[in-house]
Amino acid sequence: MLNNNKHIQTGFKIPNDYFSKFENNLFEQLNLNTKIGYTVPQDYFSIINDKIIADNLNTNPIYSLFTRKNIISITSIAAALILGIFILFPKNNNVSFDDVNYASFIEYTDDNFTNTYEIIELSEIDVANLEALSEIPIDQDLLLEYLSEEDSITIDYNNL
Amino acid sequence: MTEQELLSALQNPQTLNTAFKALVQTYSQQLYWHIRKITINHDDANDVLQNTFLKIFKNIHKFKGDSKLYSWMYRIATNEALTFIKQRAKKCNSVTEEVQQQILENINSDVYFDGDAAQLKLQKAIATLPQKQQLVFNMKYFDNHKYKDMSDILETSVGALKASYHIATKKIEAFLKNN
Repeated sequence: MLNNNKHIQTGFKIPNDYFSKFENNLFEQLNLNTKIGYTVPQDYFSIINDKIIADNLNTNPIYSLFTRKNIISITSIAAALILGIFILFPKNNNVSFDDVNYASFIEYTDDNFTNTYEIIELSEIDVANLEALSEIPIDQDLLLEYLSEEDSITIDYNNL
Repeated sequence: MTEQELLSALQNPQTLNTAFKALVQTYSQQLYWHIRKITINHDDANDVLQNTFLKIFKNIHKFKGDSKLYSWMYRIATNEALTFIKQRAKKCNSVTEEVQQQILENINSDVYFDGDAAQLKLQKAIATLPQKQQLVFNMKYFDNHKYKDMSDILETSVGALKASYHIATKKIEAFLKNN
C-alpha cells in the first residue's frame, strides 16, 4: 500500500525565503558576512600599515623592564624595606596579667572551670600547703563572734 | 565543485569562509528536511539546523575523510535532532515518541503544516515507531536514500536497515488500517 504512495509528501511547510534568511543569519553568527554598516576610506588599510611601520621606525628603541639587572635591583630594595619595617617596628607580644580585663577573666573561669581546685591546679600554689592551712585549729568562740558580727553575709549552702 | 575539492577548500583557512558558504547553500535544504521530520516543528528544526552547521564549521578541520562529507554532516544533523528531542522529552518526563505524538496532536494549529488528512495520519503512524525505525522509514520512504548511504549515516549494516524498513512499513500499514 505504501509503495503506491511514493509521491506523498510530509505536509510540512517553511516560511517564505526561509533558506536565504537562514544562510544570512548563520553567516552573521559566524562572522562570515563583512557587511556591518561601517565603511573605511579608500586604501585605508594599506595607508595605515605604512604609517604604523614608519612611526615605529622613528621611535626610540624599546627596552624591556624585566632585565636581570632590574629584577635584582627591585628585589634588593623590596628586601631592604621589609627588613627595615621589622627592625623599626618590632612586634610586641608581651602581655601582662594586668592587661586582662577583670570581667573577661571571671567570664573565662566560669565557662572553663567547674570548681576552684581546677583553677588552683593551673596556678603556682601548692595544693598540699593549701590543705595544711585548713588543718590549723580555729578558736570556736572567735568564729562564732565573727559570724554574729557578719550576719549580713548570706551563705549559699547548696554550693558548699 | 566536487566533494573532494569542497573539502580541501573547507580545510584551508584561506578559503574556509567561501567554501563554507557554498557548503551551506548546497546542503541546508536536505539537512533541514531531514531534521524537520524528527522535530516536526519548524522553529525547532531551525534551531537544530543552525546548531548543526555551527558544529560542522567548528569541526570541519577534524574531518578525516573516512566517510563522505555528506554522510558526516547527516550524522551530525541526526545526532543534534535526536539530542534536541530527547532533551524535550526529559523536560516533560516522557519519551521521544510521546513528545512527537503530542506535537502532532496539536499540528492543526501549526501555520507551517498544510498536510491533508492522509499526510497527518501518516505522520501520526510514523510517530508510533521506535526512534531508529522512524529514521530509517523517513530516509527511505520520503528521501529515497540508498541503503549504502543510510548505512554510513546511521552506522548500521545494510541488512539491518532493510529489515528495519520492512518492519516499519508493516507497522505503519497496520496503524493506517486500524485507525
